[in-house]
Amino acid sequence: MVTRAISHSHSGLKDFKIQRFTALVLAIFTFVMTGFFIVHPHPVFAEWAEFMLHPAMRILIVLTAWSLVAHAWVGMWTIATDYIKHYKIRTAFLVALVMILAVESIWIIVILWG
Amino acid sequence: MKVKKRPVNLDLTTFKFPISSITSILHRVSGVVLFLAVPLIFWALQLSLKSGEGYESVVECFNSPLMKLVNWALLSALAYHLVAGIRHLLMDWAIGEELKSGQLGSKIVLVVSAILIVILGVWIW
Repeated sequence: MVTRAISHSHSGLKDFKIQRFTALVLAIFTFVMTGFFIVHPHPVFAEWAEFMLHPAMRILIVLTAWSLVAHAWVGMWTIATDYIKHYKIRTAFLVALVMILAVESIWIIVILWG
Repeated sequence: MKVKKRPVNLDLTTFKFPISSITSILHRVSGVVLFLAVPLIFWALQLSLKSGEGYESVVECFNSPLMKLVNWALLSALAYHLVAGIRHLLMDWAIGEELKSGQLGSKIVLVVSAILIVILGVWIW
């Protein structure tokens, strides 16, 4: 067992796995949307709403949004610990980051089911 | 106690940036850009699904010259981040990890994303 010297309860391997798994979800969503815009280069409202609010798409969009939140957390955490040397400033940054990501993960539910 | 004289070089203009370091920092920059764009994208998605009028106002907004530029920049960041991310996944499978293959991989990432960015520009305008 490697001693965790970087932060209180942070596992680098867990981050590694989260980043890869969420990346796959994000890539799948990107390919699906690319496909939609190839089929409908200039969609009208009915086409757009019918596609995006389809039950399968709602689930994919929510999974994608939550993956995005987790992916952004790992990525921004890495960047913050690389570049923000001052402990208090970095902590404030990470707290703000958590709050923004928490709002976004609820916001997507309001968008789809609100 | 003897103070060690260690070489200090913080003049970025004299740094060497190998191609792999450029693709790496671009991956980070594009990731931060995409993170910052999430509220804009969520707002546009919300309005576009609210009603026909809401949808039209989003389309109108994204058709303005400034927003076309913003949209292109964001989609470019997405295209780059995706291509560089796929390279990362390949490197997890030990593909393109050596010095030579790593440099080649970096070049492929830059060329493929540049092509995608041009295609996105054509689609937007």
